[in-house]
Amino acid sequence: MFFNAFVFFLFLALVLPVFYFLPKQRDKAVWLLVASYFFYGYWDWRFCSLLAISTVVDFLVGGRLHATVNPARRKKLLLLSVAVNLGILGVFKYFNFFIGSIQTVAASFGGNVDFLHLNIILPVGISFYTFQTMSYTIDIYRGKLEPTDSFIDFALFVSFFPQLVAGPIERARNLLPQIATLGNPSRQMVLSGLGLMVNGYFRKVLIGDPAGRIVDHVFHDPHLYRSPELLAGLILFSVQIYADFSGYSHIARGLSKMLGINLMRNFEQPYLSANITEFWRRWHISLSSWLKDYLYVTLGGNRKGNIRTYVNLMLTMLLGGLWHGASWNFVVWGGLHGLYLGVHKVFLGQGKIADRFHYTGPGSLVRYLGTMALTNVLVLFTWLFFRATDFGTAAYFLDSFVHWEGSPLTSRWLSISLSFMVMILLLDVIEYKTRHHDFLFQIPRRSLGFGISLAIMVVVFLYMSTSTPLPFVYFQF
Amino acid sequence: MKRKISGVLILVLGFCGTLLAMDLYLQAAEIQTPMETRIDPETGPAYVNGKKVTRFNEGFYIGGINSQGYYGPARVREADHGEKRILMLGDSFVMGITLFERYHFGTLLESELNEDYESKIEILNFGRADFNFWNMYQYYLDFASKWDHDLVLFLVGRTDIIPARQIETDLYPFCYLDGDSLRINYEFRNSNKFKAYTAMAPLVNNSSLFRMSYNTRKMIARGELTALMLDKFAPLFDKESKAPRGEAGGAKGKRDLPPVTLAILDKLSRNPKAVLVIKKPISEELRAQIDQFSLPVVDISGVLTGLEDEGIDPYYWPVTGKRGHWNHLAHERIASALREELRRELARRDIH
Repeated sequence: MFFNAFVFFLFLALVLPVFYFLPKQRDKAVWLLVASYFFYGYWDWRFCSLLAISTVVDFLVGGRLHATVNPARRKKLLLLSVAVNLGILGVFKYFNFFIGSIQTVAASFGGNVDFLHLNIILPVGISFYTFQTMSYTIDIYRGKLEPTDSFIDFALFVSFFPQLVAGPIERARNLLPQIATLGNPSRQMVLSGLGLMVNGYFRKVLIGDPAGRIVDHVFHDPHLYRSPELLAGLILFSVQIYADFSGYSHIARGLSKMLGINLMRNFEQPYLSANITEFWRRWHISLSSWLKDYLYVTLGGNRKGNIRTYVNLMLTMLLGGLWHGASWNFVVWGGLHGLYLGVHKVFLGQGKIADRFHYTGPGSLVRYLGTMALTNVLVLFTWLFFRATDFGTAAYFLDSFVHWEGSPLTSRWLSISLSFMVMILLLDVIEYKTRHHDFLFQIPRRSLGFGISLAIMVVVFLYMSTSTPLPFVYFQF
Repeated sequence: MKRKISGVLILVLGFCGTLLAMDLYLQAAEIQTPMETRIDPETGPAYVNGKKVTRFNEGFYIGGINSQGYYGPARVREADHGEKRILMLGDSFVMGITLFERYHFGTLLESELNEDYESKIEILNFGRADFNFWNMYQYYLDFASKWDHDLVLFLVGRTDIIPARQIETDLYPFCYLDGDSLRINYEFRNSNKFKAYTAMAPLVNNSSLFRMSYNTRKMIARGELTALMLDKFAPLFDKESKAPRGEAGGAKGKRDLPPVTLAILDKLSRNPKAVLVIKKPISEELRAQIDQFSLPVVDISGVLTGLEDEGIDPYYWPVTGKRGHWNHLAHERIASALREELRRELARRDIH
């Protein structure tokens, strides 16, 4: 079930009132668990079985881990949890990719391993809930978390529908205690949730989807488009993926607030970053912090010398790329970011980067805008590999940029791209200045916030009723 | 009380101001361009000159109405420099705003014919969505024929020559028979609907939100609301889908050409510039009725059936996964087929 489908609003119209009506924590948790499995099973009920397996295994392993003091046995239990989760992920997401890669290598030596191909579909959001549930057992293993006694609470932690299929990838230590004390949200929390949802729907439905319609055409058959049109298509993809994913995250957080739960922030205006390190502190925060805590640190982080730090960084980004999808394009995307981060680390040395831009005069503003533009150009280049379905398509784009061929429609493409960019930038600047994602309900005149929100939702519904909804980009991961 | 009233006022102001801002954004980003069509009191259906058009249907189009009031490059009415002109009239397939102008069969045909002839050949596209053969004839008489031309092509299929319905007679002129005489009724100018339209025209042609609302209303009128709202649960509530499928009505059941169509064919057969192009296969019976007239007929329907025989669906758009109008390949093939046929027609008229 997509957030941007009318049926989802009907679903909410049933889920929310019943949730508010139920008096006890346990009843609320059971109701949300049922709703979450229905939400997930709406795509394909068979997907629910994978969710259930992951849940049961990690709940049992978590309990045993806590009760066991023998280090060897604890390690075995952790390995069991990791093996089951990564095994499911490996079979459903990566098996055909690795086999395909082996086939390519084998074919170049005259071999044939065609028989190994599996006809399986990728369950929606599998990478998200797999990482989320793994963090539970790893944290217990590291002694940072106590396991929960309630299977219902744990099952809800894994399947909580607002963030089940595209995050934020929550940590058990943040989400489980909130589930254990589920109650009705305060009025302020509901308003904040509404503000987040309106912001999210605006981003997803009125920026991400319309940009995505163009992007889909351009990337499907780039030969039909000329250089400025291809460049506009790439720029629009950078707008689409951000509006789409941040929109989803805002909606997820807003929904959660309406259920009395605070989820972590997943985006903090990444395109306003002055360097690539800052970008990764602001982009898909729940994944980058997960990778840092559970992969980079496990590999040794920066504790084993400079060379090893760069190797760890690159490995983390390569695997982070592969997390997005079973394709070498994502590996290249991750590799480029790893390279950027490494180079920036070299330049930075022992220095620290600022969290935010601080105005100290016109020169500082010019410097900030320059470094921000450079960061965005570097990131834009990586998006080409992220969106292109194969290297041939990416190469065609690059070739077209080198052998520039104009178009009589250049000014139209330019004005379309600029309009989208200005709109997403405007939202980001407001968020950046106010430090609130729910800024619409931070306006002192609450009725003004309601008026603006109402108008935005009217336009959102009009768009939804006249256009085919595009799935969230990150659902496929 | 005063506080409540001011709260409501602020809410309304915020609502209206945001709608206005959203309309500007929708137009600037061309998420939804305002309506490019208008109704002219003299000629009926018309376009707003110079209007930008971006369309996302099964395909994707960025372009617009030229300064002369039709799709494609603008050409003034007089062919001053000895250009040879071919006008095309037809429905949305001819209008073709599912792909960029440069891939439209008219553009491809023009460049192909220009390789063959010394004179410059220009093709003017007067296609318009929802037009049938009767509308094309009226549009030709009242608008398209004002441009100098050497040939005029009427691209039709079965449903064009046997229209299932008249377009709104309260808003558009329409062909009818007065005894044996073919006439055009312009009474729409006096209708209340037209007056209401005229009053609303500034909003209609300048607001993206109006167009979105209009499209939503049309979608509801088509009975698509249940499917949109209920998604997978829609079949449980959709009575129509449970109803047994009966014999298709309208054009499909008819075997004879209507008298108005016959009268138009008769008129066109006296116009040496007119050519009837059959774009979709029609029955032999209908073809025999058309052939009674001395109107040149070009049949390119085989191009599309040929593609289908090759296992290629000329109506399929892979990006959206929808079927609809001709896709890129179909436009290419139609241009090639028309090139051959038009060379013959031009030769018959001593155009080299």
